Amino acid sequence: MARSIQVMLNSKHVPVSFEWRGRMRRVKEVQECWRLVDSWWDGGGDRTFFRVLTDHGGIYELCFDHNESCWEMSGVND
Amino acid sequence: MSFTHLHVHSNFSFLDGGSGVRGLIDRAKAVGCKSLAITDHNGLYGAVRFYEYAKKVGVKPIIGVELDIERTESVKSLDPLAHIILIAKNLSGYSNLCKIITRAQLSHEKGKPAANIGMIKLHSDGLFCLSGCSKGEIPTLLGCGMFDQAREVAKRWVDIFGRDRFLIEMQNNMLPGSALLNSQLAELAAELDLRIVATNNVHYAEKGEFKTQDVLVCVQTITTLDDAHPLRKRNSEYYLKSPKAMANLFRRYPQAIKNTAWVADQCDLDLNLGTFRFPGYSLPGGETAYSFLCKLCFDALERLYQPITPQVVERLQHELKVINDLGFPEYFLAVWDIVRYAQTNGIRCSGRGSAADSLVAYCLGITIADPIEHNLLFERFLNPERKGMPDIDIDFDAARRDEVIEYIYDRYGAGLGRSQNINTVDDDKVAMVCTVSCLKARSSIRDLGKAMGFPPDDISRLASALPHIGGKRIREVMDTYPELRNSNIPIARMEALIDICEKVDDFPRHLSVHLGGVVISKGPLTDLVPLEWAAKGVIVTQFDKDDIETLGLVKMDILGLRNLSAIEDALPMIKRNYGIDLDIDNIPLDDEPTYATLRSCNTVGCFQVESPGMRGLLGRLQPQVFDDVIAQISLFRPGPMQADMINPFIARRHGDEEITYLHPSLEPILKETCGVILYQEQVISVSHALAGFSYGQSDSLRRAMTTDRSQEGMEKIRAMFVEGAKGKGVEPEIAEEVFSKLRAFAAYGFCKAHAASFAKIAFQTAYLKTHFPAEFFAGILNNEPMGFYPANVIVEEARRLGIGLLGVDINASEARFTVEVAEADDSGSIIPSIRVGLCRIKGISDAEAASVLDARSQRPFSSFADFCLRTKCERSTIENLINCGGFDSFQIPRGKLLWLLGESKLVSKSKCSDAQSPRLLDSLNADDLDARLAQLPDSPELSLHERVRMDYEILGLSTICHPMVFYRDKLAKSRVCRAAEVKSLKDGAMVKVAGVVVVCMRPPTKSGTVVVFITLEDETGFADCVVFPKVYEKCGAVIFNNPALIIEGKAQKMGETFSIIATSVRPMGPNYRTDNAAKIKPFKERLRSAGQRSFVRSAGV
Repeated sequence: MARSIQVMLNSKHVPVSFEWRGRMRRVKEVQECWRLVDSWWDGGGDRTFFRVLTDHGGIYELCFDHNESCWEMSGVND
Repeated sequence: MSFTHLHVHSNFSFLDGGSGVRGLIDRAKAVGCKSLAITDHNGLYGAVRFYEYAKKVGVKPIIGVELDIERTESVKSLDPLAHIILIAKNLSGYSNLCKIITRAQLSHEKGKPAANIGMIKLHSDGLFCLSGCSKGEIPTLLGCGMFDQAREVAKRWVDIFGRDRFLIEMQNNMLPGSALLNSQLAELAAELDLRIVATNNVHYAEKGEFKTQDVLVCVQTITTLDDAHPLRKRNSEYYLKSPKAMANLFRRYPQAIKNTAWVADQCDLDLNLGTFRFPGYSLPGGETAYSFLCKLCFDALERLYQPITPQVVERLQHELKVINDLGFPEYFLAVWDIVRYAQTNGIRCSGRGSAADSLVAYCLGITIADPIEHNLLFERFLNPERKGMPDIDIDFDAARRDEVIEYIYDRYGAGLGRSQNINTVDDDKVAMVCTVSCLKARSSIRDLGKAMGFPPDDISRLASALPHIGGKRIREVMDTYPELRNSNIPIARMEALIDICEKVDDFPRHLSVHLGGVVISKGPLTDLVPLEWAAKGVIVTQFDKDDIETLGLVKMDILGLRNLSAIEDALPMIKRNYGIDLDIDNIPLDDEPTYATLRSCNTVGCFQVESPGMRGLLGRLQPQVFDDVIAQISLFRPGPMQADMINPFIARRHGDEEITYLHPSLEPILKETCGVILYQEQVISVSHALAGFSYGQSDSLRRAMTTDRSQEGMEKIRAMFVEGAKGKGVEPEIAEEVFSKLRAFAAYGFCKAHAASFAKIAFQTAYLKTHFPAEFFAGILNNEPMGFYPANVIVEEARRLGIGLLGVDINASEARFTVEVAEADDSGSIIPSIRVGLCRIKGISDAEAASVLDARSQRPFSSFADFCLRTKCERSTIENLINCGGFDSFQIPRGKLLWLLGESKLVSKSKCSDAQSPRLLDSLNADDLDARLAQLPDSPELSLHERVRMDYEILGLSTICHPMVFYRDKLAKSRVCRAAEVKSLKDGAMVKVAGVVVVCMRPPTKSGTVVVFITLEDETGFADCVVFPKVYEKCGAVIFNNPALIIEGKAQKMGETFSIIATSVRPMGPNYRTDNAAKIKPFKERLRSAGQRSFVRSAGV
């Protein structure tokens, strides 16, 4: 199950930093952004994903759940 | 910022588009797009209406297609088909688009079109080509890391289209991988010096329509929402985004945005709508179309009118002039040519609709009602101010309609229709018109319910119970109809289903063949219309009849009317049985016995006047003359009923109400209908006489009243009318009153010409029923399904009229129903009996029936064994023959024959000499079988009830008796009376009736409340019942869920007919049944009682 996280955004609603395992990570580059729809007929909704490169060289997939209005960590490669 | 969506799917992408063309255009305009393309899958289905509406609202229409193509670079791991976008730059490009699509469609089986690069190369002029979506050949190769192959593919397209017309398409639907793919596409474009172009692969106008599109894709792929499928979109980003949003998505590639505008600017397509494109007719030397038309008409005049009056000549000249001025002579000649073919080949036909208003059409033999005799107004059909295409629909004998269509292909086509040789497709000028089957309430509940995972039984039950309405009305009828309320589906889920059903209301689902529409063009059809396969190997246009007409092409309705086939079937039987060569087209229209039949309301089987409502109206109107029949057909329509025109007309017709006219000038026009406005032709004449409008203006006013019902539009017309009337000295108050009557009527009025044409066929069928009922019913039964009633109801009507009914007999039955005649007693009367044909047997093939007849023509069957050995019938057919009494004449119990059949083995096809026809019992001889039969123990005979049940199961009717006979004893004890007894009741008496439900409907009513009309049938006739809302609310579920009912209520007399106003409705269950065989008279006895009537004698011939 994905874990809820805190994400800081810029004025264009793009992540600039996020907290992961008690540490703040700064986003160096948004590598890709995509959007998927979960089972809408079963209460699911839009989810927007950001694959970001942090200044420490880690790659993270941050996911915003539009239904729940919350951020989750979808994948980590660090 | 200028941006044009160049890759857009409408709902004409059939179950892949979530919005209609209008929705897409409105959205494009709203977000500031000045132009918009339509690129549906493998067709231009929605292109004409897209073009027309976009022009109307000021958006530049761009026509294109997303085409399936065979890959130019074969890669094993990839789908052999890829997508590509083609866009018409101009009219030449549009024609090429039509040709490429046609080739792609016709060179593959239905539903699996595929173009190839060769087809496209041949017709590339005037087209833009875009490399396609993620399913395009280039993107898929790039996705596999095959950059070199992608480059080669791109070069091939550049060779065809050049660098100016082949563009690299980029999409950003916010899916993982889009960014990488776009960077590769941009790199390829840069390397080959090609333009890039941004699209959004639009599948719906608004983001919220994603769900609709998603469910539709599930319907298309026969999956449910819980199933994954590659065709389903993974997000809701495929909507028609604003130029700003698109620019934001492609901020790295601004040129891709700019280039869309460049493509749009380059496109300049003019379809020349409003131009007529008539088929050519090969004229005799020295003739023009007009001179030849005149010649034909004046020749016919001499034949049709004796003497020819100056008025007739003047009218003909006037009509010919109008036809010539409008440029229609060739069209009339083409229609005449087709009708002439039918008539010279003995194919019965009759024009319908407003064409019967024309003396020219009558002279050409296109229509059958004399416009002079019936006072029909030409201007309702054609006038100088009417800009549309003349519409001539013709009914042909349904059994021979295909011969007419074949002639049209031969005469005007290039062989495509018959030979299906697609090499001639580019020259062909004839095709069948398609009809776009759209989602309605029932179909959307079934399709969408399945896709949304509802239990199939619940969905089926709900869909079957819904009336034939649009999806937008489901909620309304579920609130109104009590029988729909008890569904097992949870309310929340039901709401979700209905929501989507409403959204997809009228969405195209698939193409099918129009009932009779044939398009005939002067030049090659594929210059303007793409073609494709429909079911049964018929080639159809991708445009429906309306779009065909919008394009100015000529569409003719070559309709099949089974009633004409029934007439044609009856005539030779009459000749054979009585030696009478009946000229049905010239029967006296004042034949009193026929009017007596009409007045008696015993019109089951008669064209147009057999429904319960029509029969009820006949009882009230009591027709005396042919004009009454025309009025009858016009009156029983939703419009006149809702406008409450029936009662005043009948009251005046019977002299119960004074006939008055609002103005003396109206008397000559309305005299024929007792001062009541009944026909559309009268609206035109009234406007002409009272307001001084030309006939053309009057017809425009009539049509405006029908279509423009807005307050503003009506006010404008009213002012014109009153002003015109003032000019003719009519008091404004009178003019206002006449106008209000015209207005109330105009939307509902019926075309008299159409009614007159139908009335003639109605009268012919009533005449046949009156004078030759057995042959008439046999004709009807041979052409079922037709009309209002199934075969069993027709058979019962025949029985009630005293006609003998003979079951299937292997030594007497022909393939179809026949009439056998016998002398009854000493009176010399001829007693006709209808013999059930072999083809009525469930499951019998034409070949099996033919083998029976063929074997019998050599000698009659002498035994069951003889039959089995000499025919090619399957075991199941023989079993059905036994069970419906086909071998009863051998007087062997059916049980014994079934036993024997069960013992015998079917010789396998491989051992059979004739591989297509395995025979039973080949290994035995007749003597063996007869010996075995003798050894078998006697089996009990079936009860009478069992035999009737078997008859129904196998034949769908019974020659023995009506099933209600078995219920009569117990019903009588419950004081349920027979249908025939209702007529002898006093008005207002309480009564109970019971019977099989033959009609159950809820027509629209003036008040909008739901009233159910039920017709029950028992062994004596029909009981017509009316269920008003209070009772319906309680009994709705009973009414619609039971095949037989007991209805209690009050008898109400109206004219010569009775209705029962229901107070309670309950099911008639099997507990009422007894198996009382004593009640059934044997056939010989029935024959004797039938002998009391002589139909031939009553005909007076």
